[in-house]
Amino acid sequence: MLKISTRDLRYVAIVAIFTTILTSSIVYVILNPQPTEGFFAMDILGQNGLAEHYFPADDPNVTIGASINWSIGVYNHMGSLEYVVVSVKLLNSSSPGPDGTTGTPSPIPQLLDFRKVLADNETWNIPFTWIIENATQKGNSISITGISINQTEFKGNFVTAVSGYNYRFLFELWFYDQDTQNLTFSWNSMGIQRSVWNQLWFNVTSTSTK
Amino acid sequence: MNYATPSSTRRLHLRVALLVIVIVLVVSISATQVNSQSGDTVALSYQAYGEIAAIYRSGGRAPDLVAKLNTALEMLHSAQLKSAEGDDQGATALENQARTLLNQVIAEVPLAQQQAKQEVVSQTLSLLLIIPVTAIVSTLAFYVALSTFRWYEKMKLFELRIVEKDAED
Repeated sequence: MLKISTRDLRYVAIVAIFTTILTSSIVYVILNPQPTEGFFAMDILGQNGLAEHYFPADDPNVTIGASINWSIGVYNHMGSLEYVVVSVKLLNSSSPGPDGTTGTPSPIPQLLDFRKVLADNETWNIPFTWIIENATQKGNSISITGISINQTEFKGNFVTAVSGYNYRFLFELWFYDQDTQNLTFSWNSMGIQRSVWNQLWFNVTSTSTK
Repeated sequence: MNYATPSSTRRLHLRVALLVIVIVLVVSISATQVNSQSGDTVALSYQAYGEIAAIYRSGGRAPDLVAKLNTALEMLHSAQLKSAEGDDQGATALENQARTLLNQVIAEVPLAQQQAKQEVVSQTLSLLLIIPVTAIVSTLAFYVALSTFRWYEKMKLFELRIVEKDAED
């Protein structure tokens, strides 16, 4: 090996300092990743797993006994482990729905809910098969009095609509907020109130099986 | 004919009323018990989630505990469905299973927390070790390259001198 000159020693020192700074910066970025804007997403897919064919023959006039298959997808991009709840509600056109601007959920009581703890970037698909088992007519109004969801029958006077038009299944996404220690429907992101919900409209115009 | 006197009719009414009150009380107490049990299990699931989330917040992971917690949540969902079908016994049995599983998850959290801490420390250490290793290796590589270049320069100069000397001769 050659004897190193003072000038070369200076070059070597500069390279050593430069690599140390560069590697330290990279390690710092790896250890302290920049927080990204967190969000939840929810979708409802039809029977083929696509955003189409939500009803048999694409007819939203649902008949008694007809089986309808949907898939509800929930995606967690909050950057953390989240406890999510999908609340299922049955509404008509005049029932108050959720308010996206104020982040208020629908006051209508839920039929049932689905719960899961999701890791960051995890997607959860919930099969949702439903059948209108019973509907009763009183004058011009039709009430849904029996509905089967995922092979479980729910009985009661759930919702009434004029001539059986404009019922809707509402899916609200709730999550457990560890600060308030409560289920929360909305969250604040960059000063804006955010909430996730989805709904699909249908009619039950006949009270008899086809 | 046997006629009831007003006092006996009143007594009968009183008995019926008492019986109705007792039935209502029993039904409401059992319903409250079922509801409060369900509420307790849900609260327990929040507690389990909170403790697992703390592991994730500290940089660790506990996928096994998350899977167990999700199994308990599925049981709670099934209990909800059984209750809707009117099968309160089945619902209570499922809730009890879910509660047992949730208690198991909560009991396993400290060990998972410790493992997660160790994982985080070893990951941080291995990342920090990269700094001196990279600096030393790259500096050494630069030193070798510089030395080779200097040696090449010297050889070239030496060759030049030989050529000059040959020309002089």
